[in-house]
Formats: sequence, C-alpha cells, structure tokens
Amino acid sequence: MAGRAAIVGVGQSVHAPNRPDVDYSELVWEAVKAALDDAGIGLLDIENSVTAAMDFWDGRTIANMSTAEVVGSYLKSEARLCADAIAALTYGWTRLTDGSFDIGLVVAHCKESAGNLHGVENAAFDPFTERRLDADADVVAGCSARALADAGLLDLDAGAELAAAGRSVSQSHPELTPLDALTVSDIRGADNLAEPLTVLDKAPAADGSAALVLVSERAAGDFDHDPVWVTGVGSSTAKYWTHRDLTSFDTVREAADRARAMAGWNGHAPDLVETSAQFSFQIAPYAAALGWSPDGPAALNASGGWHAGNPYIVTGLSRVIEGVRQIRGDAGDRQLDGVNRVIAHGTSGNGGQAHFVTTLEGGR
Amino acid sequence: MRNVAIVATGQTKHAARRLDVSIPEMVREAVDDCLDSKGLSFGQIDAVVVGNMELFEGINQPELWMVAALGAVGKPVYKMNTGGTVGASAAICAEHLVRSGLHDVVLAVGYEKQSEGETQTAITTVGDPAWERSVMAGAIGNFAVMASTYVDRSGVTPEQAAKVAVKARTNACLNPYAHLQIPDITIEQVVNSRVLAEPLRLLDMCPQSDGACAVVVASEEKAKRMTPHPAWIVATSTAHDQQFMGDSPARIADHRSLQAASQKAYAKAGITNPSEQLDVVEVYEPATYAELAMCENLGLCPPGEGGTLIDEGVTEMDGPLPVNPSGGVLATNPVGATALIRVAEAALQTMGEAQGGHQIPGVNWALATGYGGNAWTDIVIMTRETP
Repeated sequence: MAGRAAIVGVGQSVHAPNRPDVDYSELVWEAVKAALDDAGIGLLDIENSVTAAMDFWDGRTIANMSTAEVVGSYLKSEARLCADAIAALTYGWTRLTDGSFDIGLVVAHCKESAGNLHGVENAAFDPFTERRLDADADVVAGCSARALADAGLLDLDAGAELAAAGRSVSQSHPELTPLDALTVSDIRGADNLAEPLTVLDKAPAADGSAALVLVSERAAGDFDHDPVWVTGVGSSTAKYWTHRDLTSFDTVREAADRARAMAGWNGHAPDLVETSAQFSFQIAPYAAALGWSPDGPAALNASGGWHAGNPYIVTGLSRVIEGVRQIRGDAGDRQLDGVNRVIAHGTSGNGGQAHFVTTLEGGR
Repeated sequence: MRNVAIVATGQTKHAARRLDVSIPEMVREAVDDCLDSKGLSFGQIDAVVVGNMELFEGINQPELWMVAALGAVGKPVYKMNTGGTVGASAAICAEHLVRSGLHDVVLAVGYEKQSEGETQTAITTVGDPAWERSVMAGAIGNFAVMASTYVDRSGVTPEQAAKVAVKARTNACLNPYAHLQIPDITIEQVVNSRVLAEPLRLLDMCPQSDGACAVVVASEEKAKRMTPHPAWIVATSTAHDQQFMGDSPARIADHRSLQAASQKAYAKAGITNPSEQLDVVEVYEPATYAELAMCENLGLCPPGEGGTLIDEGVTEMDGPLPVNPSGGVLATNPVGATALIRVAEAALQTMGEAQGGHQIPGVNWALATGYGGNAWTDIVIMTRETP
C-alpha cells in the first residue's frame, strides 16, 4: 500500500423515523458540522469528499447536487457512490493513501421517510420478469430465512434476541430516537412481513446522516484527537438473488477476509464487531463472518446495530463511527473496556447482495 | 505514487435504439469489446466501477442486477452517480483504486439505454423541488440559457456554432462506434434545422443514445504486460459549481469548475501552454456553443476567441489541435457512458489505436473532460511516454 489514512473527526445527525424539519442539505450539514467540530477544522479545510446516497431514495437525479455545497465541494472534488457508506469510505481512503489529498470528508445520508420504501426496493428487481410480482427486500429476506430453515440453519429466536438487544441501545444513544423495548415474543408475535419473518425482524426505517473526517498519515498529527487508523478495507458482491444460494454468508466473509488480510490481523480477534444486518436472522451469521462468536472475546454492536434505528446507506458509517468512538474512549454510556481493534460492516442490495468491511485500529 | 494507465477500451455500436440487446447485454458488449481488444479475461480484473443514471432507465442498484454481465461476482463493485460526469468519475475512481495499491486492475464501465427510459422526465427532477423543478422541462432549456450567455459574451455566430456541428458529425463518420454519422452535413442544414430553444437548433444539440463504454485501468507492472503503449494517466481532477443556476450566472461562458479543474490538472501534469502541449482533446460538449466556450475555458485559445478557433480550423481533425475527432457528444450521448467515452477516445488516441480513420498521428498528450451536474467538471490527462 502507498500510505496510511486515519479518522480524526466523526459526527452524526439525529437519526429518527422521520425528519420533516430538515431538507437533504440541512440533514447532511448536521453530520458534517459535527464531524468538522470534532476534528477542530472548518468546511474550507476540506480538500475532497466522497459521499454515499442514492437518487431513488432522494427522488432526484444527480441528487448529490443538493449536498455538494455542504460537503465543501465548491470548486473542489466530490464523488458519489450509490451503495452502503463503507464503499464511500473505501474510495475516500484511496484518495488519501495514494497521495492525492491530505484531508477528506466521507458523508452519507438517506431519508427513508421521504419516499415509498417498497417502491424503491422494488425498482432494484429485474424490470421485465420480477418487478410485477411486487418483490422487495422483505421477499428476498423471507426466501433466505425459509431456505435456512429448510437447511436446519435458522434460529429466529436467537436473531430476535440480538435485534431486541440492539434496539434497546436507542433508548440511551444521544443520536438515536428511543424505540420501544421489545422482547423475543414481541418480535415473533408481530405481524407477518414475509414468511417466516415478522415486521419487527426488519430494522426500522430512519432518516439521518453521518460524516467523518479522514486524513493522510502526514496530516494526522495535526489534529487534537489521536488518529484511528483505517487499516483494512474489503468488499465483495454476491450473485443476483435468483442466482445465488440464499443460505450462504460467503460474500460477507469474503469482504471481511480481504479487510483482515490488508490489516495483517492473521487470525487475531477484533475487540468489537460492528455489523449491519437489516433482518434479525442475519445478525449472528454476519457477525460470525466478521470474527464474532457468542463465547467471546469480541463484543457485538456496541452501537446497537441497524436495529437501533439507522438509515439505509448510512448504516455502515454509523458502525464505523461507533468503532472510532470506542477506540478513542469517547463512547459515553456505551464505552467498553480495552477496545483497540474494530471491524465494521455495511451492506446494500436487496437481501444483502453487496458487503463492505473496514478494520479500525488505534495507536501507532 | 505508482504509475497508472489505461490499457484497453471498448464500446458498443451506439444508436438511438439498441432494440437488439437488453441493458445487461449492451453493457456486456462494451465489456467484451474492451477485454477482447487486449486478450484480457475477467480473471485478471480485481474490481469493477460502474457509472449510470438510475432514474433514466428507472432501475435502482442496476450494478447488482447485472453483476454477472459485469463479470463482478465475488469482486468489489463501486457504483457511482455524479451526473453527466459519471463516466469520467468512474475512470478517476478506478485510477485512485489502482494508484493507492488497493487493486491492480480495475474495469470501469458506463452505460445508458435511453430508449428504455424517459430521460427528459428524469432530468427534470434535477431541479430543486421547491425552487426550480416547476419551471424545468428537460435539459435543452438549460443549455439554451448557457448558449445565450456565451453568445452575449463572445459574439459567436450561429454559423460558427454550426461549424462545430458539421465537424462533429463528419468526424463521427470515421468512428465506427459513433451514433450520429452525417457525411454530407452542411452549415446551411444546421442553421436551418428546427429551433429547439433559442439559440439552439436541432443539429446544435447532442442526441440521446443507447450505448456503453468500458476501460481497463492497471498498475504499471500489469499495464506493461497488457499492452505495448498504455495511456498513462498523469493527472485527474474534479471541481463542482453551485447547485442553483442563479449562483453561476455566467454559466459556461465563465466556466468556473472547468477553469479550476483544468488549472489543477495542468499543474499536476506540468502543462504550462495547453494549446501547444496537448495533441488532442476530447471535450464533453452537450451543444455546439458549449465546445467553443469549453475550449476558451480550457485555455486552448484566448477568452472570446472560440469562434476564431473554429473559423481557422484549429480544432479540425487535420488542424494543429484536434478537438473531438471521435465526433464528441454531438455524435454520441449515452449519458452514463458519455464522459467515459471521452476518456476512452483520448486513451485510444494516446495508444495509437483509434479505428476507422479518426486516429490523429503522433499523439503524446491527450486531455478528456466530463461535464455534468450543474456545470461540474472532471479532467483526465494522459500521455504515451511513461511518466
């Protein structure tokens, strides 16, 4: 690798089921301002930015036009990726490690309340044969859960327990909106979503944004916070849903293996695994692929995970931001002891087709 | 920083309607053309970058639907959308992915199948929903305002603009991939074609095309094994302008993002006199007037001299600085691919591989631009000599 890059500032807007009080640029500015303040710099210090957002969710073509100014790209470089925000972090990381820039922003936003969630998800299906069957992410997840059940690999109660635990983090997290506490039986007994899943097996929809300041190694010493290094990045893409084995979690493992190999972890366990699973039954298998086991030693989703209420696209960056705070010792009530290695994960695509992973480390 | 080069390019035959192929088949046609040009295989590709405007065809996350056609199963895929610039943005992303050492060989793909969507409806959503959308009707009105502003500043005449249209569609006849090839086009035909929005006439405007483009970007070590004369990427840059039209009143006449991006790229590439040092330019000109304004803002001629540039034949295929020997956007415009086609054509010129008679002899320096969003710019500069 050419060089190293570190995170020196993080910030999030308030994530809530509905944010009618802000438009897209205002929503994004909340996170950008928080990240800039955390890094102790201003918008004019930003040399380049990489954003994550999708036109379908924003209901607007070239939707990054509405956020270009608030990510500091007037007469500067911004590029937008249409995937989970860890993809944007990965691209932003290359722009620093190849020596092109010293200070960059990585920003993600989504307002799930502003659109028709089912319609947006449905638009990602084959337009000729599948869309009219009214498929959405729930259908793929349901098929996946059913296939796992047929293979004797589905534990809905265990998934519900993890989802409920994650959701409970929302009650004390300053950037989240408190969600009702749920029990496993609440989740299992809720309305049907896609057999065998219930509506509470799916992470709640949310509006929100997240941002971080990423700097080159030569710039990292100029900031107040100790740098948190992005030591590995890895991603992978599965086959389209009708072509793949819906019981397989190989793609998330492949992405994690790439990030771990780059970080040189050589089998070392992380201290914290932050995974983005939109459906409860995916939490444990995703986390296992990232190096978590119910028997320890890694902690799982100190942030609460997606079920605590983050928006689509943003979720991966929310995981990364939690990792940064845990390593810095800034996680407040959620602070764990001795966190120095974090693996963070995001996913996009119906049923989890694309996976993006990064490893974070303090010190050195 | 390690050296990075474009080693292979591919395109579809571009047309108004490619009814013979589905979207994934069309994309695969360009990808196969690209890989086959240098005997490459999917096994040599580490990652794929995709550029497309989702709302144009109405397909969300299209890279996941067509992942097999992209040869991207089990690989990192970076889906981009930056507006008209997106093809060049994809090439620039591929450059960073390779230069950083994250990947060694990256395939960048751009496509649009406008016949399967409603582009002008989609483009109308570009306007801010509260302030601009209710008075927007597609792209043409916007370009007409740009052209009027430029005419006001430069005094460029309809006949001078028409010469750009004639050059583009004539050059396109020598480009086997090009969409609008009009061999006997005349200035009279252009100035007498029907008015779209003053001062733009039908033949002043780019078409809507179906098509795809692909390029392979590789590290120096891999590039040298893949092709004898890679197109070395020596500088890339991007600059954005304000989102609201009213905040950039001079529009392309005083094209701030093109000035900023080109000045940065020239400095990186060590270019001090672009009109002398560049051998060929592929500029993203959405309309005839735009090419002249962009040449001025790129510093290829003094301000206000765009009309003289075309009058004197400087930018003709056999002139001292050919601009758009491919036929440019005025000949071919599958939006998600359009800026990547600029990069691919500049690379073909640099590698000495442009087919059909549009190769410029002795190209060492080539520049490609991408244009989109609200007057946003991407620049890619490449050279034949190893940096």
